[in-house]
Amino acid sequence: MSETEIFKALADPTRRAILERLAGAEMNATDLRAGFAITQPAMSQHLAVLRGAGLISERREGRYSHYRIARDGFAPLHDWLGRYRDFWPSRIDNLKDLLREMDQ
Amino acid sequence: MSDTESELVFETVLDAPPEKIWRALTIPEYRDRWLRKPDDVSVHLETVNANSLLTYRWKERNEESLVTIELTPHENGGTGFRLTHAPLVIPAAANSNETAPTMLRAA
Repeated sequence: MSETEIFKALADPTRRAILERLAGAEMNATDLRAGFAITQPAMSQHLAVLRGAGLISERREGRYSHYRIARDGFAPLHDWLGRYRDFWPSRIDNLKDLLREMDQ
Repeated sequence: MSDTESELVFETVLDAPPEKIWRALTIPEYRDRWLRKPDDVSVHLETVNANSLLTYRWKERNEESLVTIELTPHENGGTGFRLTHAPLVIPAAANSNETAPTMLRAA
């Protein structure tokens, strides 16, 4: 899955909140929706986007679907984060150097 | 790092007043000297609150993200510097149910 798909999935605050909730444990759709002011179809749509981006996986058990974080799906995001985790400290050092060189 | 972390935050204290840091962040000639962005990245100044808050819209091939910098003056003359780099959503809105003020793509 591409970074672009993952970024699109993360663009929505509700989907980010769903991921935070799933970070702790596998949950079914009903439990997952508790506390969110959204309809069941809206929740289904968010879950479909997250699955499409490879960020969560679904497990069927009878009438219930259980959702969990798909750890491997976050690899492109982790690559992106890793790139910029190295990038910014050197830039902040550059900024400190520049501030010393600038006139007041 | 947690598995679902999706933003980077860097904090430091700079030995300069906010007004001077602001010039280094917003005047292109100064900005290019410290930022040295990768060749495949384009940067646009997105939202501005003079001397305290700015956001760069960061475009890298097809990915878009936001770099938000907050400046907080300290009593000793230094300035708190906080940089957040996150995909797409203004971080302050990420935990609220309100629509983010600057959503780069509609859901």
